[in-house]
Amino acid sequence: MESISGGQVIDPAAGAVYPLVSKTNTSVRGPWVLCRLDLRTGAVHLGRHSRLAA
Amino acid sequence: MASGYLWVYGAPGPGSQPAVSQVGPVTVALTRPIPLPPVPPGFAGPPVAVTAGPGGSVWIGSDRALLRVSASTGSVLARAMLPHGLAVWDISADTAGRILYVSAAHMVRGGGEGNVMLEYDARFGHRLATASGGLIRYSVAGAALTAVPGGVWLSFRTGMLGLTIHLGKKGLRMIAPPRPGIALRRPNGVFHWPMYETTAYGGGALWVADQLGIMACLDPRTGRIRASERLRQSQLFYQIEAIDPAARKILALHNDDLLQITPPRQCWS
Repeated sequence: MESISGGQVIDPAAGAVYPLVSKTNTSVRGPWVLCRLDLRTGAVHLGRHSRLAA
Repeated sequence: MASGYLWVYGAPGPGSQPAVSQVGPVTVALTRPIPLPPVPPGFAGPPVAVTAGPGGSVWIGSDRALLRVSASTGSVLARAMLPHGLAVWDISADTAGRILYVSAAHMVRGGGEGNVMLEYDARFGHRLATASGGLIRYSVAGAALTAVPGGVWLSFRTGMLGLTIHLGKKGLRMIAPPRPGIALRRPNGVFHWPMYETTAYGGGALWVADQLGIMACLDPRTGRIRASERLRQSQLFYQIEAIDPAARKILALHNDDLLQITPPRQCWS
């Protein structure tokens, strides 16, 4: 289960939302995963979390 | 998002060097870490700030340091240091890529207090002006910045209330409206408000939204309100996330919902 941390970026030109989500939600403490959510299709692309400075 | 990349920062662990992660927007993969200067042990100042700079670069503000970094190579193109005792709170560069505006707080017992505005050459990092008088001295901490053509808009808390004011480039002189007496008037408008106000620039307009539910578009150079409406309390949002001039929409988050707002036609220039 993943939980949105509250940090996100929206890029309307690319039609994408980039939420930074926690792999834990009890409590929300990371590790963190940056995702790409396509606003047109709803497709989710998970980035890697282990090397992000977050 | 700045200069074509995502820039991700989290507080470093004990003894580790702070860094910003540069991430590609298509693959969502790490392009490179950008190491930052060490911060003092127990540093509890404001988090790192990033904004687009000229020529495919970004400016990164961390503690006293300002770094201009090439987005294509990761190399440091210019750097500047704030005066002792100050820490970067927020940064914003004008879209022409000439001026970098910085709000900074005095570091007192590890936390930020008060506000100082600084203006830098966005290419080389030379300091051009400093301002801390007038309404700026009412700020309890650093200001949130939105650079526009000809200057910068500041939003800051004065306590439970707050102010949004406009400073001009080349000297950071205050531009009216609002006038200096705004702090004495009722906090019921776009320039004097309770609790919070968020600002953003795009589509030729300055956009504001606040805790009263006021959402307005302003002429970014003159502060003239082009249009304003009142949202219901159940519709409030804390931050304007994006402006889409092509679709003429404003995007914001309310709880976990993505809001798409269609402003009046007269907002767009």
